[in-house]
Amino acid sequence: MKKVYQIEKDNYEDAGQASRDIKMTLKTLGLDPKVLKRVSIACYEAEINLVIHSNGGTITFDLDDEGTVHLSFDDVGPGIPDITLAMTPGYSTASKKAREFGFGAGMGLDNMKNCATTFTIQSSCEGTHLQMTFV
Amino acid sequence: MKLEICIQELEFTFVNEASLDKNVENVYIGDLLSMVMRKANEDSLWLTVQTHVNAIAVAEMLDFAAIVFVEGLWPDEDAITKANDLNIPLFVSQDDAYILAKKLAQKGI
Repeated sequence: MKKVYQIEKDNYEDAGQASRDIKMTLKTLGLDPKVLKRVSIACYEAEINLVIHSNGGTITFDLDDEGTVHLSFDDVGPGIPDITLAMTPGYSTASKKAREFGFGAGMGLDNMKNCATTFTIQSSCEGTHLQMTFV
Repeated sequence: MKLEICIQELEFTFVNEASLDKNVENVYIGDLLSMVMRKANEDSLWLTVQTHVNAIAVAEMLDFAAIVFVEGLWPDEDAITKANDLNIPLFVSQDDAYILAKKLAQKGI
C-alpha cells in the first residue's frame, strides 16, 4: 500500500490532514496502538515542518508486507543549513506566525527521532529529504 | 471516569456538537504543541490557550477525550467546525489552568 500527499507551504488550515489520513488508514488495518501513536506524532511533526519551513513538498506513506511503516518527506527547499543545530532540542527558526499557532518549540525533529525506529535526513538548498520507518 | 461525569459542577461552556461518551484518564496542561505531543497521553483532558484549528489536529492525533480552553478563551470558528467533524468535545472554562487542575484533582483524576 502506497499513498502520496502534496503539502503546501504556509497552509496552516489544512496542516495535519495527511497525517490524519495515514493514522486512520493504519488504525483500520489494525496496527498496534503503541506503534500507531509513534507514527502519528512523527508524521504530524514532519508535516507541520513542511508547512512551516519548506517551499512545499510531498509525504509518501508505504506499508510493506512485513508490517513496517515507511514515511518519506521530500521538499523543494530552501534546505536546512545546519542539521546538527536543527536537531538540538529547543533550537527553532520558526516564524512569528508559526509560534502564534503553538509551533516553534524546537522539538519537532527530536520528537520524530524518538518516535521512529529508523530516522535519516539529508538536506541541501535544493531540498530536504527525511525518511522514517516504524516497527 | 466518563467525560460526562468529569465535567459536572465545573461550570464549563460546551462549545460544539460532539459525543460526551468518552473516558478521561489523564489531564495535560500545555500550549507548545511539540511538548504536548511528546508528553501527553491518550484519553486526556487537555487544558490549553491554543484556540486555533491546529490544536484540534493535535487532539485528534493523540486521541484526547476533550479540549478545555482556559481563562475564558473561545475557540476559532474553523476550530469548532473541525472539532465537530472529528467528534472532539470543546469546552470553555473561566478558570485558569491551575485552579481547574485542582478541581479536577479533587474529582480523583
